[in-house]
Amino acid sequence: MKRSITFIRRLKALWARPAVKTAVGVFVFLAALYFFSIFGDMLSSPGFTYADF
Amino acid sequence: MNSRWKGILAGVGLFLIFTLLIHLVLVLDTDRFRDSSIRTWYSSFKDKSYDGLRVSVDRKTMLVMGSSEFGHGREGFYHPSRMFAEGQMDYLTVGSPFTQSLFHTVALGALEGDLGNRKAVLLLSPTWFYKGGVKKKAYALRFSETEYLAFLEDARLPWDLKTYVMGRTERLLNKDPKLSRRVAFIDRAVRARHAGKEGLVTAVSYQLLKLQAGDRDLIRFRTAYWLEKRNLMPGLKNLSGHPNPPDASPELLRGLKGGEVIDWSGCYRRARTSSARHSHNPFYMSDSVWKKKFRKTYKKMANSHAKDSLAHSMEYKDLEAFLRCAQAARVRVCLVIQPLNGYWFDYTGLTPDKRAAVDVRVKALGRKYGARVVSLSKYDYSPFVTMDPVHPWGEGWLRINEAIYNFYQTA
Repeated sequence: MKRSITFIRRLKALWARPAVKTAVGVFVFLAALYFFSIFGDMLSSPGFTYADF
Repeated sequence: MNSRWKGILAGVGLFLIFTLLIHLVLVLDTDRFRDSSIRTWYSSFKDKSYDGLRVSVDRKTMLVMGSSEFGHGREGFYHPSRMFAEGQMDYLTVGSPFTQSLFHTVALGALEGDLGNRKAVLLLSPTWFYKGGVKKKAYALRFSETEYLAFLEDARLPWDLKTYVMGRTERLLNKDPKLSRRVAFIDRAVRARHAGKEGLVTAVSYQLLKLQAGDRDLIRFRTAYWLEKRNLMPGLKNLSGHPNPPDASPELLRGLKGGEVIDWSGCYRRARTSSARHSHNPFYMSDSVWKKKFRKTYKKMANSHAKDSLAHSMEYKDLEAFLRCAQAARVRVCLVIQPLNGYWFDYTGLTPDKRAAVDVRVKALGRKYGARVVSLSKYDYSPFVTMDPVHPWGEGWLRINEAIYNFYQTA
């Protein structure tokens, strides 16, 4: 219990640093672009439904 | 350096590590995807992923290339994925709606290095040979960047064949800005390398593009396969392995399982009887297709093909490129001209004399490049050979299966 409280406190302290927020934001943005580049096309592709052919 | 820049650099670094980890997992975890059902899986995601296809090919695998016909009749016994489900033939199907000779030239060139069997069958539909050949939208829809890269990197293929494919691809993709930009870059890099003038920036950019395209296609391939295997996507029931096909006789299945000689004439009789029960229309098509697509509109379609011709088409040049690719790679080819519904095409104005042009020109190409040509056009007037104007039904599939099987058996 004590350990997990310490861990959460550390995380909070880390999150309070502006560089960490920026790093996480940049990572999430790039990862979203990456997944969109893969699955965005895939979901709109007629490959998913052959009903019309 | 202020904290914002430190954060940006750390974020980019984290992302690079993340993508590298995904890449390593994809590359190292290929064995799980050596599933035999992938070989006859009908999916454009399979067809587009060079790595997905490559891991499915081994020493004995023969390529069977075609297009939308692979998606028809899958629920019956006569579809090859059902008829040869017991492993009588080791083959990999490549083809989805709209894949034609140029797509298959690229796919064959990409895969030839992994093809131990050195044999490929191409199922040709006479309707590919309308004047313009493959349509721009269709080619863009099915274009595989990863196979294109592997094709261009294959040292066995002649440079003039590559320049032909590059030129055709650039023209066919010019209505798709995103693909067109990427292909223009690939072609520029390949031409520079061929001329010995490739710079460091181009070389690095080319490798990064190749890495990204490979991972993208493989992730799509695996995601689609995962979804299909678990029936999570409605309409994606295209994996093989039906345990009890409805129209298979126990005797026939026993013969196939035991490796005995296949009783083809018995198969034909059963297929005709089975189809006749489901066909009550003037064109001997399947009733379900007739009711859904043609019953209400067929009167308007009389003579709709009257001005069409199959004698002159870019598709013949693309087919020649396919045969040149096979010849250079020392892959033996069997071209199978699929039967059409003769009654329908007579009615719509594409008469036998016009359709005969495909036979004549394909046979001439076959002779020139030493390819076996099996024309099934003599069955155009065999009732129930197709379920609609072009796609094989029971007997149609059997005729195709026999041609494929006989070619597979040749030494």
